[in-house]
Amino acid sequence: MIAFCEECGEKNTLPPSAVTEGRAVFQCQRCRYANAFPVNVREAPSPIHTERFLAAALSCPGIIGAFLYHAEKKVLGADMPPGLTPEDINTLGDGLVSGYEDGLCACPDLDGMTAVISDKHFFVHRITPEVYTVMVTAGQPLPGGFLKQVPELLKGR
Amino acid sequence: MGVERLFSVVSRIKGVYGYIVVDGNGAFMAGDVDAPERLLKTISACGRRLVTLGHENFKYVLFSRKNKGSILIFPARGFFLGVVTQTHARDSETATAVMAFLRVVEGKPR
Repeated sequence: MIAFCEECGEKNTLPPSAVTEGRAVFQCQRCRYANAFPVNVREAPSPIHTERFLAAALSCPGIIGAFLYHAEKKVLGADMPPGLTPEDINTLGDGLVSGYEDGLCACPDLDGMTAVISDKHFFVHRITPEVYTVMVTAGQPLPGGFLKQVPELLKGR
Repeated sequence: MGVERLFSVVSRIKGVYGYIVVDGNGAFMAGDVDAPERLLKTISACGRRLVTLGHENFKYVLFSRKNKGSILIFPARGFFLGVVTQTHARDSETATAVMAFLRVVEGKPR
């Protein structure tokens, strides 16, 4: 998993063994600070849960596209406007998620990112340390309350 | 007109707590808030990344924080303008106002 140092914000890639009893314990590779903080590690959603999320997202007024992006596996599932190839969506996910990680370096308390490109708003949220949701609207804000449902949708409840 | 004088107007826009202008390498050019090095790097790195993604269609990016002012990043005349908003400011309205200012600065029609 990827964890950011609480002291200097450096991005550290941790082996699974660095997470024990719900805590990430590691020494920062840059400043050597001894980090130990709770993490919320969940399994990546299975494809069927991805479909559930996409169906729920696209049924919300204003949302014209959505996809799930995994830091290592790339796009897990997508329902995006026509004209975008899978390669386009991968490129989009890579750029947006990398931008989100840039933001985490400066703001460890980051709650979400919105990128405005042309007349489209891309809403990026980190659901687990590896999994991100991207939802697209034609300029409208995200429907109120939908974001709170996303973790449950991915868990399939 | 110098970068500092040009962008000083940003601090008077409604909802703005402070601003920072950085170049593509993350070097501080102007601003009125104390910015740690990692914020300067974030503004330039994320700005460059989204310019690569959206080219001239990239308008801005908003980082929302829990119970704190948000951070907006705009491409601006070859630099990147980072704006820290006031807590509880209406970020979309602040972003619209900053974009209007940037259009004037760049001589584009409103």
